[in-house]
Parts: sequence; C-alpha cells; structure tokens
Amino acid sequence: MSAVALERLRKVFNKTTALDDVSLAIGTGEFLCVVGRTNAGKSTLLKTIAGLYRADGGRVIIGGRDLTLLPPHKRRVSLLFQNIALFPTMTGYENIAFPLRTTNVAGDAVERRVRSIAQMLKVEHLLDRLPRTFSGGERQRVAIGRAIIQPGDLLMLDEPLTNLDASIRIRLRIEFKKLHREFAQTIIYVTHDQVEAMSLSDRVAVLDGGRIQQIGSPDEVYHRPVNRFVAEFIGSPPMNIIDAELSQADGRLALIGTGFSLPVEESEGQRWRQMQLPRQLAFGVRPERVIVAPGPTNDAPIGANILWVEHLGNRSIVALRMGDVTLTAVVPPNRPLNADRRAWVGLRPEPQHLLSRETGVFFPLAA
Amino acid sequence: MSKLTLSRISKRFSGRDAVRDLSLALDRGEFLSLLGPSGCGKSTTLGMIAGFIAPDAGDILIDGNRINDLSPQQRRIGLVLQDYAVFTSLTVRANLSFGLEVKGLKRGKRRQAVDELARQLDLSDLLDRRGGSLNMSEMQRVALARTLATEPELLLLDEPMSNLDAETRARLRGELRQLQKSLAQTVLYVTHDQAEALSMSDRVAVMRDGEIVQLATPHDIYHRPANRFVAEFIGDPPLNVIPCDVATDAAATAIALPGGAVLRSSALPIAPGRHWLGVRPHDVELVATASPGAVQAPLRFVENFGARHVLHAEYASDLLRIEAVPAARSIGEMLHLRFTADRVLLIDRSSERVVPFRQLEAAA
Repeated sequence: MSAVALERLRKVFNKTTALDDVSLAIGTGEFLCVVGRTNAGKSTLLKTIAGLYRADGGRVIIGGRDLTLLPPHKRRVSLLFQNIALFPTMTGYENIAFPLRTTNVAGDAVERRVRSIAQMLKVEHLLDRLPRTFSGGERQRVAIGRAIIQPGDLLMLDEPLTNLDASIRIRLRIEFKKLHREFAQTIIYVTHDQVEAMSLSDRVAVLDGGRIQQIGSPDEVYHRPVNRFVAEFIGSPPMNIIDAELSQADGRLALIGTGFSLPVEESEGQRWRQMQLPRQLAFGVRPERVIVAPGPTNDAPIGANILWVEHLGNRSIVALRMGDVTLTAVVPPNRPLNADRRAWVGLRPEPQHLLSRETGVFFPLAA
Repeated sequence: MSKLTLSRISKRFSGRDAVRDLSLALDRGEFLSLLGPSGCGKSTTLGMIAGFIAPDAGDILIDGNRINDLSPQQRRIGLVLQDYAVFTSLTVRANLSFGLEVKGLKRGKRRQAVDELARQLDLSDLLDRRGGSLNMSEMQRVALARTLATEPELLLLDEPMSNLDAETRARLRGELRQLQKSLAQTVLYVTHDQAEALSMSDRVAVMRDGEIVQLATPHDIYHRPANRFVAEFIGDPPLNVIPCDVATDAAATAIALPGGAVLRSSALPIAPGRHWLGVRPHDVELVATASPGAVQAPLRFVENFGARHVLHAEYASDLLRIEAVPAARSIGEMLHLRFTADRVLLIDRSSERVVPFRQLEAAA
C-alpha cells in the first residue's frame, strides 16, 4: 500500500490553476523530491496535502485514509514551511519539543530526543535561548528540529535549506538521508534545486505549470527525460535540443540539418526504423556528450565556430555555432579552445533522445 | 597607456577602512573583474571610479588624466547596475535614445546611432517593444545598449546578473563577453561570483578587507592562488583544506597526511610543523582498492549533478569533497583516495601563504 496517494488533485486560485490533476503514489519510507521553478505549484502541493488549502478536486489519501476533508491537525503529517515561524516566547528547547506536548511521551524521553536532535542540528547552544537571539540559519535549524522530532505518517519539507551556507547544507542533507534511512520516514521534499533533488531522493517528481511532467529515479529523469521541459530543466548546462530531418538515402539513416549530417550506425538502424519516426523531428544531446576537438577527427568531423569558452577550472563550457545551431559542450579543463576559433564537433544522437518538434515529447523506444 | 589607473586610493566610512591604498591599472579593451565577498570594498571602489563617492586619498586617472574632481556626468563612464533600470513603459527605441537625448544629439543622428547599436546588440527586432515585455537577456542587452550609446571610455558593471537564475546567467555571461570583445570595450566588472569572474575576465583582482590580495589571469588565480583566502574563495566545489605535518631538510620536504599518506617533493621554503594542504575536489584521485600511499575515507553523501558526482567523505574529522565520474556507490562504503604532489597546494599555517606552486613537484 502506498503511504501517500494523490488522486487528480486540483487547486485553483482566482482562475489560475495551481495544481492541475496531480496524481501520484508514494511508497512507505520513500524519499520523494518535488522539483520545479518558482510558481510551478510546489508549495501549493504541500499545503494541499497538509490540509492548509482545501482541494478544489481530487483526493488525498494517507496511510489508507481519505483525508481530503480532514483539518490539518488530524492528518498526522508534519510540514516545515519555507517561511519559518518559531514561537517567539518559547526557548529553542520548547520550540523543538512542542510537537510532543500533545503526545504521551514521558518527560525524560522528551529530553533525550530534544538533546539528540539538537546535537545533530548543532543547535545545543540555543536550547535555553529565545528565537529573537537566533541568526537566520539558527532559526531554520531549530525549525527543522521541531519538524522532525515527532515522526508522523509523512514529513514534508519546503525548501528547508535555502539561505544556509554550503557546508551546513551538506551536513543537513546527510542528516535528512539518515533520518529517512533509520526511521523509514516517508518524506516529500520540495526544492527548486535540481542537484539537491537528484542527490537526496529515491524518486524525483518534476512539476511545471501545476502538472507533474515526470516521476522517476534521478537516473531516469536525467537520462530518459519524457519531454523537452524535463530535458532542459534537469542538468546544467541544459541538454542541447536540435532540429533535424531524418533522411533515408541509399537505405542509410541520417539526421540532417543546416551544416551537419549525422549518419546513424548501421547496427542501430533497425532500432530506429521500428520507432516509426516522422521526417521532421529534433534530437537531444547532453553537453558532456558533445565531442569537441581543435582539429577534424573521425569522432569530431563537423566544422563549427567557437562563440565563447568558460574556463571554470575543473571543466570548461564551450558554446559553438554549428550551421544555424548553437550548441553547448562541457569539456575537460585546459583544452586548447579559444573564442572566435574553429573547432570540430562530434555528436552521436541516441534513439532515446529523439523528440517531436511540435509536442516536445520524446518518442518511445520500440519494444 | 592604461585606460584606467587607480593610484593608492583610500576610503574610510565611520572610522573603518572600506578601501585601503588600492592601486590598479586597466588596459584599453581589457575585461577586469573585482571579485570578493560582500564588504570587501569592491562596490566602494566602483563608486569612487564612477564619481558617486569621493576618495579620501589617491588619484583616479582615465587615459592619464586625473578625474577625481569631475562630476559623474563629466567622466564619460557608463554604469550598469543590478536591476538594469530599463524604463518599462517606454519602447526599446526610447530607452536607447534616452542617453543620447540627454547628451543633446539631434533627432536624425539619434535614430542612426540607435539603429547601429540595436544591430550590434541584436535588438533590431525589438525596437518597438516596451521595456516591460522583455525577458532578462533582452533587458540586459537594452541596459547595455543604452549605456554604450553614450560611448563611454569605461564601462562599469555592478553585479549585473545577481538577480537571475543560474541558466540565464550562464548564457548572458557568454553574450556579454562576446559583445565586449567585438566592441573592444574596456570593462570593470564587480561581482562576488567566482564562476562569473573566472569565465569572463582577462584578469581578476580578488579583494578582501579593502585591499587587492591577488591580481592575475583566471588560470593563475585558480592554479596559483597567492594565499588560503584566494584558494578557498575560487573554485566550485571549493578547495579541500587538510591539516598536514611537514618535515623538511636541505634536500627534500615530506608532507604527512592524516591516515598515513606522505607526499614528497624537493625542499620547500616552509618551516617544519603543522600546516595545511589544499586539494581541489577535481584533483583527488579515487583508486579501486587500498594501496600504498592511499588514504581511506567513508562515503557520507553523493551530490548528483547528472554528468558528474561530487562525493563527500569523512576524512580528518571533516568532509572531503571529491569530483568523480558517476557510478553506483553506497553511503558508508570506504573510498580509497590518493593525492599527488604536483596537484596540491601547500599552505603555510602562520602566514596563510601558498608555497610557490612550481617548487611543489614530486621528487623521485
């Protein structure tokens, strides 16, 4: 049984559809990240699951119970908001311990749990102080403590690590993973940071325009995006998407565009033909899969002009003009590549990266 | 002759040095970045060049002429700020004409100048659109074009991309650099973003506490940082700093690392004792099994960038960052790591200076 099931969940604000028939099932003990841009509907999704917003359609089922009409406090879910509010008249200790007040956890057990969480979050020095003396990062950590002290059926976190510095972010991510592993806590974690989503979760749900574009493992959304939005949103720099025509001269398949012709390997031809592709299509290539060489080679036979090169130390990002296409490549550092020079490019389109120009949807592979 | 010269300029605000005795020379057509954390004095320096802040001491020269006493309008310096300040209710053409009108250019000339600029900045198709309908890339080009219309001797850019998302920033960086080169425009660019500075500049001046701590090409700033501050400020993911014990004699230096590895090199000018070893995440080598010279570190977290992984492993009571090719790895597994003498930075603990790179080569 799923820990959480959303069935065609809808939420509309003044005619703007914030959630557009969102359906998803989350397994018990699963760590799901919801990733998307600002206004994709991420926070609305969490608030609707928590019951802070009433759904305009669809159902929220948690632990087998239909909670759609229940008030928030009866849902046994915990939500850490993006805008953190601590109780200003309570100490750090009292804030963290708050969710245990209404339970019958014994006094010394409460103390032990608060202390161990405070140690993990490095806020032991804040336990006897009031929130107004905390820094922004300290507030955030205390609020995380309050959200995780009483594991319910579901823990939801809305961008919990924004504005914290990088080293504490990594430490807290490690702790979230640990929490997830050790308590088999079901977690929905909202972030706009695709790397964070790919690093933390079992599965990633990519949300855009109130619709789930794709749900899959980090590897799936990266290597097998379902549509152009996911392909360009996951991965930085984004996947190159290039228009081409599928030609079949002399029985050999090739992708042809202005300034390039990419033959499909003989051994691959059969797979491509079974996909029943249209003539006009587009293909995607990840920047790290673009081969760039200072001179023509077998692997990089297509002439291009280098528009600019960003030397980042550990890798370089190269923008190239190939025919009428602008292409981004990521190459190892210290390659002899300079702006305004010629370069030679190699591309190997793969069948799983062919998509429709009109719909932006990737074509399914033949069974 | 340098386009812009700053000669020992200083500025104090309420008893605190914002900029201290700072000297800098920009060549004609050069793209130079002032890079540093907030409060390092970079924006104050920019303000003094633009003429909004009067220096307490020192001279500012353009083409060798002292401009300290000129008003901002008289300086022929273009300034583009964070928010671009494009007039949203005016058309792009009106936005671009604005500076020229202020300059008193006749209508026919204005039209000609605007058309020419629009062509150079790829704005020709947008001239009749309103400022409010533009996307960020277009907005940046309009702000730049409006400033460039006044033909500034020097273009100052103050964190122009800080409000944009990472993807847009990366694209605009390339566009800006291309434009700057094609116009041979002298640019001073202020930023706290090291990737931005590294990727666009001819030279980077790293600032801290009102002073320039290093002025060099992006390559040298990355590979030959002058001190620990620069070494840690530059690079993403950031440099690993590991405590080490240094023993040295006339012939050789040995650097002992936690976990038993020892790096050897020809003798280095450093006192024996406890120092720091800086290693870029990219330069930590993952080896398959325990081997002589390798240290062990349990894996704690994997940052998944898709194309690459950044591994975080527990080492010397800290987390060590390692850039690696994506592979299936599990949390808690033991990693075997190797450091190579010619790919590390030895940092003197008392002075925080980096021991000159060339000398730190592996001895046989």
